[in-house]
Amino acid sequence: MRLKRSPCVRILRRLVILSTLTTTLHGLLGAQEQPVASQDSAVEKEILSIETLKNDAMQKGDTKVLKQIYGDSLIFVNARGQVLTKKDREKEFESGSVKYVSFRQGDYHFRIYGNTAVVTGIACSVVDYHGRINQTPRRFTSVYVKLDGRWRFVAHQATLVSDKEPRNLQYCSN
Amino acid sequence: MRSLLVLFLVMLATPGVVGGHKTGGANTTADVEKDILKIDDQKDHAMQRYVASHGEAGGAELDQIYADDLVFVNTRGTLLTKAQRLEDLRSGSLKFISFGRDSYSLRAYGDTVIMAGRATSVVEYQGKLNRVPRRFTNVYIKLNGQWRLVAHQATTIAEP
Repeated sequence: MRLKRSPCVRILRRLVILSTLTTTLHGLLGAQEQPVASQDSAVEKEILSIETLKNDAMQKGDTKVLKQIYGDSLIFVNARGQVLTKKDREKEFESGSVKYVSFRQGDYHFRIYGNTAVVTGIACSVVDYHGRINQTPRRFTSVYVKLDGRWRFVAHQATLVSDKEPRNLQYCSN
Repeated sequence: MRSLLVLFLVMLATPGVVGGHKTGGANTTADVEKDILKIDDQKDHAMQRYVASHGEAGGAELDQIYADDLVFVNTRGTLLTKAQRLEDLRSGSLKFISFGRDSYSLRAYGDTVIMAGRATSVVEYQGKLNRVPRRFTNVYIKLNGQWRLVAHQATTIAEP
């Protein structure tokens, strides 16, 4: 025969179970926590793989991929100081007004702040931009933000590097 | 058993328990915009004071606003650290003849704000006068409750 427990005993029993479950869950989730440096290096890897995807898409003019990576409110400042939106940038690739003669980009440096990553680097690609060949190296800053669980490219600015500053050109001359 | 299952599901859905993604504070975009414009103005004023006084005034404010790992790309495409930027300002190689910006736009992503604008200041840099307008991007991130400039890049606007 089963004994009928009083409401107080039932509540007490549930509280004990609840506290045990909470402790177990914290333990399980705590075990997943990684040191900050290791998390940052994982983010760097993730961002680098997105950069590679983006660079491939730019060379192929693949706007389907670019649409996935570009944030809807992207602010893109090119090396001529023009401000482009996501649509402007896509149109440039669709129309063929940006063509890469050669592609080289690197010397990446990362700053990770939680769900934001700031990436700086050098581009030495030779590009045919609206019929003009540009082979001057550019330094760029790109910003990625994690939106709805996905890293999106939300800001970019490029600046031509002056040949008067030799350390600017080190990466491209190697 | 059913009540246990309900309790378990409630716990899973409670962000405090599972350490879920933090949502921003109660700040509206307008509040953030005000904060950023204020801090950007403070930065510009401190910078002018710092330059004019060869590093005697404005340094404490700049130190507060510039993040320790600031990346600063000037119009020559040179990447400067916080220390190099402060030295550039202090050394007298940069002089402001006039100071201004005539447009800007902001994008807020929680504790990250992208500020893009057009600077019209006339400057003398290493003895060379530069009156050509520049596009700039400032990236501000709230770190330990304070907005800090973590990245800046400037690009001279080319003639059409």
